[in-house]
Amino acid sequence: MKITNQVIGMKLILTIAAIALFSIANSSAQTLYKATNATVSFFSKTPIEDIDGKSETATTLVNIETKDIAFMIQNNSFKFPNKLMQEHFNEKYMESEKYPASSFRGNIQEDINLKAIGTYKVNVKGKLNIHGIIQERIITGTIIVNEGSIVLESDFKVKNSDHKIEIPSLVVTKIADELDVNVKAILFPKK
Amino acid sequence: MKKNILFIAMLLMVNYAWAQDDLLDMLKAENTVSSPVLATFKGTRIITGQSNENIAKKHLNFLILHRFGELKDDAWYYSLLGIDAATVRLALDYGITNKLMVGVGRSSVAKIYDFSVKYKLFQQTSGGKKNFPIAISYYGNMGLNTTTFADPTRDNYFTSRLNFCNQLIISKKVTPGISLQITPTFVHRNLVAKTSDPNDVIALGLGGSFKITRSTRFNIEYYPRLTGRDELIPNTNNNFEDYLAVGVDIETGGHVFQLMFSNSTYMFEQGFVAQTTGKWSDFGIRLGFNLSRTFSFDNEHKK
Repeated sequence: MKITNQVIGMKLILTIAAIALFSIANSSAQTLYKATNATVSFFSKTPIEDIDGKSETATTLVNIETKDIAFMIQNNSFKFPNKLMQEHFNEKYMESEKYPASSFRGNIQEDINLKAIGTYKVNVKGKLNIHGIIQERIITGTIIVNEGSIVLESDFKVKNSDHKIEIPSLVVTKIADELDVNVKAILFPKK
Repeated sequence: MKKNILFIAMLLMVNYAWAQDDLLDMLKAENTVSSPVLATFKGTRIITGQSNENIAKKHLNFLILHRFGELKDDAWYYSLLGIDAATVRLALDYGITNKLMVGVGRSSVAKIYDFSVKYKLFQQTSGGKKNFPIAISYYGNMGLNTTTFADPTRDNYFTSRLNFCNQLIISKKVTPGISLQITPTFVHRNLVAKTSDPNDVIALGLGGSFKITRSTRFNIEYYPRLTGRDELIPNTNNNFEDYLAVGVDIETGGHVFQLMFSNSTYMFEQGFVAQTTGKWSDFGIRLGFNLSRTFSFDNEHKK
């Protein structure tokens, strides 16, 4: 009799747990927006050479409740018009084998409601991780909330020296110390 | 029952924590795509022999290769480390696709034109859940000797001018700083000096590249012959030697300089595999360098 009670108890508990699990997973899905093909491009301009790289496979997550943002990009997904530059970018500067991805994890500082349709200028405070070096940054950008989608856009600068990306003296005139980075992502509710 | 309630509470807490789990970790879990390993070697050749690297699609590589005279021939200052006896090979390699490269070259030694093709059969990959551990390429070339025939009164055939090389290039980037390669090589010469000389020579190329700094590497390659070892150097009683070279790569953005010591004057496979004459033990080695410059004709990004 005692055993049966325990079994029923266990079953009940498991059911509750399952429901709890499901409901939480479900509720988190509604607050999460995701993009798997965000665009990141960067430009290095010097009088001698212009270098630009572009990736269209960055991934992004936004939690519209907590206003948390996460952004991640595989360094070897950057495409360059000159494949030798692409190789050098991965092999010499980003050291993609050691540090395969770059990322940003931040929180929107403004008191805004990401459930309401509109365009918002935001400051996102968080950690920018490039080349294994994490920098506290406040990155400004624009968030456009549409019906069923969110668009993120941002332009910011990254200093090579901030992330211990050393430029050899032989090519120091060809690579700018400060790179212009442009990010655009269109996010949809995460399934 | 108390225990069980506690268990549920814990489960809910863990669960809640998981739901709130860092967004970045969620992204990390998804970012596991395997992609080709880059830069196993700096150039399309480790030193003189081929590496597994190709020129990218719509990119053209211009190569200038030099081998100088043997260091034992003169006092080093008399011919300035053999530079007075320079031989040259000029070559162009072009990437038709990212996997298929074709090339043409011309050596001053024996006035040989060579036509080559290199194809990436398998690429080493990393970053994914399932990765391919090695890279395998095929390389083939045909050499055309354009020196005048030694005896014009004989029946001389055009086909006598031809020689061939087939290679399987098996390489692995073991760590970011160490790359190794095994290169089974089959050389065929339509015409050889004496009837006793073999037309075919099989060699097992071995190569390695070791990173010194981000822009420099130390390289070594060795092509021991498995057959044809008793072929004699014409007009001597000495056998041909196995090709061995050591060198460094210096990469300066658009250019790769390769400086080396080797015991062969040849800058293509049929020559250095089968007809290397220099003895390392006798200081029969030569200074040399390769200079390569890559040009991009890829305008797709500008659309």
